[in-house]
Amino acid sequence: MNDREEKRQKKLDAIHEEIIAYLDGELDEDVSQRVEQRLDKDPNYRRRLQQMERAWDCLDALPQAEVGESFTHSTVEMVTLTAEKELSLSATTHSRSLTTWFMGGALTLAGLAAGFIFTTLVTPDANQELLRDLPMIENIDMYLHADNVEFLQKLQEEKIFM
Amino acid sequence: MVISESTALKYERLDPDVRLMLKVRDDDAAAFEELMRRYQSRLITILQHIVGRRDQAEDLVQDVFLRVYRARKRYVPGAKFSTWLFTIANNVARNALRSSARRHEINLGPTAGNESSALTLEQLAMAASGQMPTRQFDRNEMADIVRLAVTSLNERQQMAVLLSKFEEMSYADISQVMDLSPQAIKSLLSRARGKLRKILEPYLSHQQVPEDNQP
Repeated sequence: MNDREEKRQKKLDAIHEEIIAYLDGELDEDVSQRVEQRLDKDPNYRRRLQQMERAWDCLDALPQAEVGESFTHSTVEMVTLTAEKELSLSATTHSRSLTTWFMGGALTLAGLAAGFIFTTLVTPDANQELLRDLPMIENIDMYLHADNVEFLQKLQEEKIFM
Repeated sequence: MVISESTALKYERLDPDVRLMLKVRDDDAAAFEELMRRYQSRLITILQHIVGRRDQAEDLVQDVFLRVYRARKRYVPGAKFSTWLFTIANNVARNALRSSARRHEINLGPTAGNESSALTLEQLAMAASGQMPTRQFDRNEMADIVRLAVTSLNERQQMAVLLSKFEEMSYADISQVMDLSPQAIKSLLSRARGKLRKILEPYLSHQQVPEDNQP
């Protein structure tokens, strides 16, 4: 399709869209008035609109479904059954998920306890260290008078200074 | 999509079916049944034309209502109820057509198993090209011709045409149902109706009003 044909086709498409939108009541008031003025003056435009309208009216020949009470009942039944099934499934899932949570909680607690014990055993306790060093802390003033540690150890070995 | 409280209140005030759906949200079974009664035939009509078979259309409508029931607790009115319902129906129909295509099922069209449908698409094409002898068609034949003409449209064109014709939906509502812009719907309907006119015009130019339609 060359440029000229393409432009012509686009113009036709636009006219077509306008006619359909007019028939569907989808145009603004001023555009609708413009369409009506053209319909008065342009027989081709009017013919095109009439063809579209006639073809559209043909769709009235399509059958429309009629549904009996039995369909309503079977649908309600189906929805109720499915809802009940889903409810019981969700209850099972809920109870399973409670068990999972319980197990998970117990495992977490056990892990925390093990961690506490491990930490207590492995990590040096500052209070224990202080307790161990308490005799020295209590006599720190006297220790400060000594020149060196070997001398103090000697005094201790000979039970002169405790 | 977040729906503002004012929008929800507007639709609740304007649309009685929205009020029914809000009762369904509160587990009112009678309201659910009432909505079904109001919409089941309309849904079957549209879906039967889309999928081509009455029994499949009924199954799909049941699926639509099941989805409505499942979604009830999350329901917040952000559109007319019919728009919301047909959006679900459109999704259900599209999924069904997609899985049919995946299973390589042959869509026999609405004439499958229907003995009154004596016309074929080839005959339609012949008539459109002026090769078929012109004669008067009775109502059933005309219905078959129109049905075949509709099946010649693509899936989206069919849905837009059927919503416009049977539900008298505006372009804005159809655009919401089909998740397209109103301008896209305008073009879609224009092309679809152009195609219908092209197929049906040869019949219409020679068609007289069937006797049982005359006053």
